[in-house]
Amino acid sequence: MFRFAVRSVRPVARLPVASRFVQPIRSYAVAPITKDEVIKRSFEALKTVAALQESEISLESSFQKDLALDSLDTVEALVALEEEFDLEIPDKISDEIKTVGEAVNYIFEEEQKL
Amino acid sequence: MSNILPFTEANTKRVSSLFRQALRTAFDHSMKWDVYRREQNKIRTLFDANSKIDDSKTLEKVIANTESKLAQWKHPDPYIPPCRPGGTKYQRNAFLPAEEKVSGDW
Repeated sequence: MFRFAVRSVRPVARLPVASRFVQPIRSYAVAPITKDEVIKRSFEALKTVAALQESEISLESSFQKDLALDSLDTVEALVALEEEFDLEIPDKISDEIKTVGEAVNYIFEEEQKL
Repeated sequence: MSNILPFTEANTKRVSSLFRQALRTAFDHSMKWDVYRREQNKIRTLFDANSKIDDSKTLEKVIANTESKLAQWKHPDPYIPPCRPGGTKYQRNAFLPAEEKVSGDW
C-alpha cells in the first residue's frame, strides 16, 4: 500500500538531462581583499599602538614627521600591521616605509600574491 | 659593523632590526597575545633604558650584549605566517600550469 502511495507521489515530468549538469563554479574560501578593507584594518591596527592612540591617522601621514613617532615606535607600528595581516615585512622594506600609505600599499600588494 | 656612531641613520636601522627581532623572538616563545604584550612592554623599556647612549664604545658593548641575548633566546621553530613562503598553507592551491602536461593528440 505504502509503496503505491510513494510511487504516486513521484513527479511524472522529469527534468531534461542536460540541465541537471550544473556548470561548475569556482569558489574561494576567502574573497580577495579590497584596498578599502586593507586601509580600514590597518588604521584599526595602528590605533592599538600606544604612541598612536590619540593621533589622527591618514594615508599621507608620515610616521616620524606627522605622527611624531621615534624609530622604535615606528617598528612597533609596523609589527602591529604585521600581526593584523599575518605577514612578515623584511628589514630592508621596513626601513624604507616612511608613511602609512606606503605600508598600506605594500600590504595590499602582498595580499594579492596569496 | 664597528664604526657606527650613535644617533646616526645606520645605528637607527641596526637598533630597529634588533628590536624587531626581539619582538618576533618574544612571540615565538609565548604564542599567546597577553603574554606577548607584556613581553613587548618589557623589551621596549629595556631598549628605552639605553636610548641615551652617546659613547660609541658603550654602544658597541650594549649592542653586542643584545645580540648575544637574542642568539641565546633564538627559537628553534619560529612562527612563520601560514600563507607566506615557508608556511604550511603556502601555495597549497597553486594554479595548474597552462601548458599541456601530456603531449600528443588524445
